[in-house]
Amino acid sequence: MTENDQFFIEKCLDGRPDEFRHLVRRYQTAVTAYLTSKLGNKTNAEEAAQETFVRAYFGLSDLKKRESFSSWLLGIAGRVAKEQLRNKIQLADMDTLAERQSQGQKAEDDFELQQAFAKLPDSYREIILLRFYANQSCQQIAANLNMPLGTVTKTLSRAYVELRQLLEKQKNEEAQK
Amino acid sequence: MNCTECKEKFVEYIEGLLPDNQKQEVEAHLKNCRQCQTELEQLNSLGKRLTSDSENKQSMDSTGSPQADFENAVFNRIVREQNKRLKQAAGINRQLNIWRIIMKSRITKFAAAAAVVLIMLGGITIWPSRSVQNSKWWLEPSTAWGQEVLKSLDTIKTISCMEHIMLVRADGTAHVSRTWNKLYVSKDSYRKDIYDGNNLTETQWYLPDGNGMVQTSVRFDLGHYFISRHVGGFGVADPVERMSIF
Repeated sequence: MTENDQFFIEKCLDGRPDEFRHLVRRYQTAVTAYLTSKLGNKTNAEEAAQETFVRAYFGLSDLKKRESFSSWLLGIAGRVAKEQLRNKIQLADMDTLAERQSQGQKAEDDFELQQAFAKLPDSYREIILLRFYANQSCQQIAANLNMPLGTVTKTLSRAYVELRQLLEKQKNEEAQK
Repeated sequence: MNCTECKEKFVEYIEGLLPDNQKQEVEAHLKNCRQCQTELEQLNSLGKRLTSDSENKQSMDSTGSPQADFENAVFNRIVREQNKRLKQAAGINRQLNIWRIIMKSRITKFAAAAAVVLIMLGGITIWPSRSVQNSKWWLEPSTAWGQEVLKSLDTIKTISCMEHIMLVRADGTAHVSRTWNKLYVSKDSYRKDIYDGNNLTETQWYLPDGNGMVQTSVRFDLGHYFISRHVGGFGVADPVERMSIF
């Protein structure tokens, strides 16, 4: 499907709420992946992802820059995650939380990647989420974010560097333990 | 091309975005530079790691059709929240305000006639509320007079109508949708044709399925179709459900 986010947002706001389905489909994995990295737990992340989309649906008419739907959506997801964490556990206990949940994770879960992911600056995390978890090509990301293609590839390149450094750092810390 | 220049091109190289001449330059440099080869390998393996994590996250929900499950969960929550908000809005007597807005506009006066019918039918709530879990949404109501009304409606096989959506915002301004619908409603299923001007952009069928229903949508504008299952009706998109809201 080649239609950009704006196409569906406009349809939603034009009285076709079921068009929101396409936006859910497009970003559900990205949002869930983001929330898994924040919350460390798949079940909580999925629940939070649903909540994120519900809030986005009702806030859609407040979205001023329609080309930044994905950043806006991830912003909502970030707030939902914060609320969930606040409700469940003090932030100081996050490390033990992460530890406990890492034990409950399935073997195929890339927990190190999730941890590093949580520490990435927002703009880098967003570009990686869009590229890999929303399966968008660089051209699609450029069109959606209304950004020159060169900016997309440069940001992606910097995001890789940052992510690799974080993974490296974690590995070293792990080795020192 | 030196190492720095080469590394700067890696993302575009991997993504297949480089023009042929630059691609050849990168490859020529790679042939003779072990360090850049390693760098590219690491980048590729990070990409693979991300791809497999993403696939993993997609496949982990997959028992049947994971996407549809998630989508439906989101939509069910939206519908619940919407009904709650609409009821609250009705509670503070917003209907009166809406009426005034409708009657002010000459164009929307005939739309108001349709609204009268909806509210009258809704006033006697012949349709069970969506909040009743696990009940069929087309089931008869419990009250005797409701049964009477429904019996007479049963004799009508199909109602067809045209519907044009007008949104009234909280600040009182209104927006008339570009698209309009042609509805064919029978007592337990319906078809909705969505038009943009004279162009048919989508046809939807809703058929009962256990306690829920199956929606089949054919998108002429996007060139694809999808089938999804819902619990209960389709909230704001379902004319029958819409009656129960008022």
